[in-house]
Amino acid sequence: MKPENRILALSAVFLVLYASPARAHGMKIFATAEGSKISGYAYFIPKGRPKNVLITVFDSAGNKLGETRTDEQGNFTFVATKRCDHVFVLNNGDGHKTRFVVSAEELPESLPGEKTPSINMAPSAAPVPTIGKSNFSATDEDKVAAAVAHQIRPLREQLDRLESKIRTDDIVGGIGIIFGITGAAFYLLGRKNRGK
Amino acid sequence: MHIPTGVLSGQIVVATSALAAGGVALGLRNITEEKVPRAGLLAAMFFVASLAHVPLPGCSAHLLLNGLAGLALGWAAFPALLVGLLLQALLFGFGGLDSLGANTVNMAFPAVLTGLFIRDIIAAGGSGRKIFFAGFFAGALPVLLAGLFTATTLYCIGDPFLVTAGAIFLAHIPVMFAEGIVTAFAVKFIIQTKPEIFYQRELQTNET
Repeated sequence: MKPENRILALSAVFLVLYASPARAHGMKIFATAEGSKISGYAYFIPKGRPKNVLITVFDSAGNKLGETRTDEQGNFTFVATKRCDHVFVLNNGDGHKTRFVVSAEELPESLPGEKTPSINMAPSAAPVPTIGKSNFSATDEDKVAAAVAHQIRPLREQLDRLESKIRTDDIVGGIGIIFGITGAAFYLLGRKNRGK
Repeated sequence: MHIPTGVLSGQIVVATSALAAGGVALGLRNITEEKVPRAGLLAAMFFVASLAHVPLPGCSAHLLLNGLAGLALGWAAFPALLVGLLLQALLFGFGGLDSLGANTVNMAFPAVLTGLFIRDIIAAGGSGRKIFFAGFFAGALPVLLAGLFTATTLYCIGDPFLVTAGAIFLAHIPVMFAEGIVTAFAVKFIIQTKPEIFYQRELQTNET
């Protein structure tokens, strides 16, 4: 290996060692509904949260439902008035743009809006499946749903983070691919030169 | 500064991909056997440099190293950065496949300009301070240019140019400094140890 290439190789190794896998960039939103209140936050993937940025809320058809802003901690809330998919869109203005969908199923059934083929509708047609359920009113169900949502929120946050995490395998694999391409380029150039 | 997936319109995707393809074709013709390992190593450095996060409150920015790639590779920076960006999109989720052409042009064209204009200044030699400053600008200016190009691309899909350019510029001031200093030290080091990397043209004519 030539000295110049040795230097570059060393620098590459240096960068790999000092770029810890957790450090990356990208922006995401996380949100869950508890009752009709949707709360969440925007975050950058290595760390940090965008403060005082505008988040626009649309339904799944692209109609604007409203706007909200992140506070000093990067948190935001939005009160749903319709039971439909809520699409949260954050455009940071510098090329970062991200969206997150809170699906209609997460919102309480007491809200007006798109009637999903909900379990609640079934009993009126066929009273048999109501066993064990008849004691609950719609508000009770909303309360249970809110409690469950509250309990599983940390899990969902963790899953969301794991999905966007950058693993050492990815870094090493990518470098391997680049070295492979380099080898292939040598092969092709060598074949061309032999042909001459 | 990677434009994420799903942001650009179809026409822009086609136009930027065509531009990128042209740059890559020019770059591939430019790659000699001697340049292959260098291109591979700079692609690898560019690929991992995006993980070197520059800490600053409220924003997210990272090193680009496209200036260094331009100095060492010239037009060959196009294929090298394309490979780096493709892998960043596939493995890290930075940028996207539909914006790959746009990102390649936005990163690689400033690199090529640096190679064309600043490499000769460095190759001309001079005092250590001059080399250091030339290296600093070779690192910092491509970041600024890449930001302006990205803002222009986003302007084409309807974002207000000044607001976008301003936001990118503010987020990248620390990056420009970090990049400038890293590139300046790299250039100084290369000048002291293996200066031929910067004046290949004369070297080739001497050999033939």
